[in-house]
Amino acid sequence: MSPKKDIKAIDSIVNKVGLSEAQRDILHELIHGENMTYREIEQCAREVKQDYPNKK
Amino acid sequence: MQAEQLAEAEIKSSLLGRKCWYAYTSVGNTPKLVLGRKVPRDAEDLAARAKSAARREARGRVRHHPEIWDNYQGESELLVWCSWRLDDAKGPVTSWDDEPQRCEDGIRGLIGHGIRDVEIGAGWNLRLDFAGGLVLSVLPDHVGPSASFDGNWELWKPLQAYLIGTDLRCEVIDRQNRVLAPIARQDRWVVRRPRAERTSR
Repeated sequence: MSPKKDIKAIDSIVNKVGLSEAQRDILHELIHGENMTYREIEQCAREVKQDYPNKK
Repeated sequence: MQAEQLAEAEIKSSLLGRKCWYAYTSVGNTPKLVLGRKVPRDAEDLAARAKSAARREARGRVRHHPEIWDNYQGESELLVWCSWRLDDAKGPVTSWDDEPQRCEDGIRGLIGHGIRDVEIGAGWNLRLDFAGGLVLSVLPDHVGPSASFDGNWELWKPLQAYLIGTDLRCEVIDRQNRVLAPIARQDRWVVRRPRAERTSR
């Protein structure tokens, strides 16, 4: 995918899971260099939401 | 001082003179620069990171960030979701549209260099001049309700964050995700209201 399509996919996941900007910042860090699929990033986003409930 | 003027002044002072001690790009060639003093992470953050690291290890994933990053955050952290370009004295080095490895290598080239000049232009265009000659230009190009991404660039501090949105305005929030507003005739912020929860667009 192109970079712009990649970040559009991130935006879609962030909205679907309901991450705050602070949680989105953590997701950005966790998916760095991981070559994850869409589903894996979505799973990671759900874990961020669960692990960082106070960064709402 | 108006909110946006105060935010601009604080962003500039949070970046100017700060040395980059860690930098990387993530999915979509989106850079993060970690700058200034190393601030110890709080207990809650450390616990969440340990949980995340254990999960990653159990899945056989390789560690990509340095150990120091597990324990410290930056005094200022710049996260760029929109278009950017990195130049040196000879011309362009890389940009958001380049190969991911070239983006990563270019952005990592900022590590060890301090910011010697900060310019913020109309529409929150951002230009950072680093000692050593590299220049990072950031163009907020996610605009309007149909933008491909809900945001442009963000400056994170330990106690508050400055978010450049798709309306090309700067929203200042605290760590409890509450919107801040400046006190009239005083250069400090107070909580105005909680932010709305993010919902599907």
